[in-house]
Amino acid sequence: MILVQQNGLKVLLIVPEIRLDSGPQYFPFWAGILASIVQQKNGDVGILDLNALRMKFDGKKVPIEVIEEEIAAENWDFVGIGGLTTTYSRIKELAPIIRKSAPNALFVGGGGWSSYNPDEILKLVPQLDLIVIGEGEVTFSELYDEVKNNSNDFEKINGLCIRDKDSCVFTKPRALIDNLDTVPYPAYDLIETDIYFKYSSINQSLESYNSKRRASVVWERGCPRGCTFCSHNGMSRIDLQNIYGKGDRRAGEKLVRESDKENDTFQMPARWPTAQYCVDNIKLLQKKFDVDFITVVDENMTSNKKWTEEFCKLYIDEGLDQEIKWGTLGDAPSVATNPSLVETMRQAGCSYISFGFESASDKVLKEDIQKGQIRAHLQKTLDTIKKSNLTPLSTFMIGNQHENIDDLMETVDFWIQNNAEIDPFICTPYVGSPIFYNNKDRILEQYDPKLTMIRNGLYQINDEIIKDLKLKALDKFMTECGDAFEYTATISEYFTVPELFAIKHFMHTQDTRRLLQWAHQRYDETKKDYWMHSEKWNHYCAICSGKLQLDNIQLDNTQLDNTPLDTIPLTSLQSS
Amino acid sequence: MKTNFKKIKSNSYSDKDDGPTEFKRELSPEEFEEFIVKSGARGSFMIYRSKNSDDELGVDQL
Repeated sequence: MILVQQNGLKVLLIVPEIRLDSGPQYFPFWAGILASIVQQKNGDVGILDLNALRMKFDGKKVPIEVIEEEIAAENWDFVGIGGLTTTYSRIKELAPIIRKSAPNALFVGGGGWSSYNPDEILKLVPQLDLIVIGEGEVTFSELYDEVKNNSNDFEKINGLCIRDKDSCVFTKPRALIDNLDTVPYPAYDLIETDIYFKYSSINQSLESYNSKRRASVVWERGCPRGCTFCSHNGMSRIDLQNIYGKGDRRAGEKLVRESDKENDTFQMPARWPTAQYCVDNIKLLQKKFDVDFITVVDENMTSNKKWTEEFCKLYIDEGLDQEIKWGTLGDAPSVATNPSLVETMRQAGCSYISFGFESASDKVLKEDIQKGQIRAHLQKTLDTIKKSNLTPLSTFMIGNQHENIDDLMETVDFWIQNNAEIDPFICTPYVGSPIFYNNKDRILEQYDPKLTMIRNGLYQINDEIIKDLKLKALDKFMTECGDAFEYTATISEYFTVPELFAIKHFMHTQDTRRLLQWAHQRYDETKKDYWMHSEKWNHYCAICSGKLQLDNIQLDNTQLDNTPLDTIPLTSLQSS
Repeated sequence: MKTNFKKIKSNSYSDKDDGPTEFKRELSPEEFEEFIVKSGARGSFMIYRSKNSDDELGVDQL
């Protein structure tokens, strides 16, 4: 007999701490939206936002005993936990506490930390019951109903990875949401807005720095670019393809596309709700909280010219442009080819657009990054942004797979030419990104040298033991993954982690003299071509320019030796 | 924790201070630029030394 719960479920959504080096910057959108769905179903819901509450503990992680007490105080039916990949280590630490404090709840993971390799996550975090893969709203809603009806037949719900004793079961792929206007606005009353407003100021632009009540929103799902370092779901659905193809992405893609066809939801990888939905969202935030700045944390607003123009027009029509300034992210190819879009955005109150420039080497941009941009796009974008008086913001990264000393010099030269000071990220192969899948064994070997010895045939070890070693190495890698300021694994074909750190420093300080001096030294030691710089950079290189000077002096001396004194110009004699 | 229902027990940390009660002083555009230059360019930010940048850039040069 199935006992249907008369009342709604009691749902707890837990947001782990992230980026402890600054205050909490962005509302936990996923928790807010899922809380709204619970409220629509007349359920009870709580958001335990550890990332906001840590400010009550000097910005450090919330003490375990506090978390334990909070969770254990209620009898939860459903506990969900989510976050970016970088929250993996904290979630793994919290999982046993959550399981102990909510013993009767269905314990569910979701979001970037668990979406890309849910089968491995279920092994590494044994307290979890199941994982919601990718876009979670509809899957969560169906899960809620299933728990409420007490039928618990989760296998009929698409988009899940369910624990099955020592293994797991994947249900069918979940189709993407075809109309994002159906997604409810976050339950703002359950978000720790007072804490977020205290940490309102961010230094992206003057207006964002001076803001007192900055709110954040996410509307866009996915991105039209296919950057190889990006793990975001919806980008190319590479994550789902990989999961359902069990490593064979082509096989997986077939399944995912079939699911799209069945559900009539085949669509562009990047999707937006209507401009009206977004402007209404901001009006709601204005009405409820009197916000003065909006951070639109979308992947790539400028890539959709039509949508952006509609949004900006509506924003001005509603009179928001003078009252609430905003900032967002964009990409260079779209701005370089449609520079007028920047002015449209500025007139609608935009105060900054942040770009991922990544590298100024056309070779790296084309072969490694694969965003569809070239150096000329970067320059045009930069010039456009500066002309419009917006704050120029951009990210660069080094340690790309085929990046050699010439490519690095292209990048630092771009900075010097543009009078810019940059401290680049180090390319990090986050789980879910194409560079992770393409280099997985290399990455894991950096966390367990035994795997290299086995690959080299020094030992004959059975597959089960190798699988276990790989899983443990993956755990170490994911535990270490941070915000790419620090090192994890490298996928560079040429440079080691210590070398990348030195390169990063020399590039940041624009110390091309030392960088190229070192390159000469390393080339002499290794004879590896990737350390040999081209003549193009001789003017930055003290060794090459010094050699040239000495060659000239020697030439002059030779000329002096063979030339009658009265025919030598006076200046030449002086310089000698 | 915030909930849409009355909790059995209140938060033990509810009275704890969660950060500054007063906001930072607003900066002028010049002060902001100086602040940005002084704060370095950690990771993500492209920071322009403003003095000569306009002279060095121009769409027409592309």
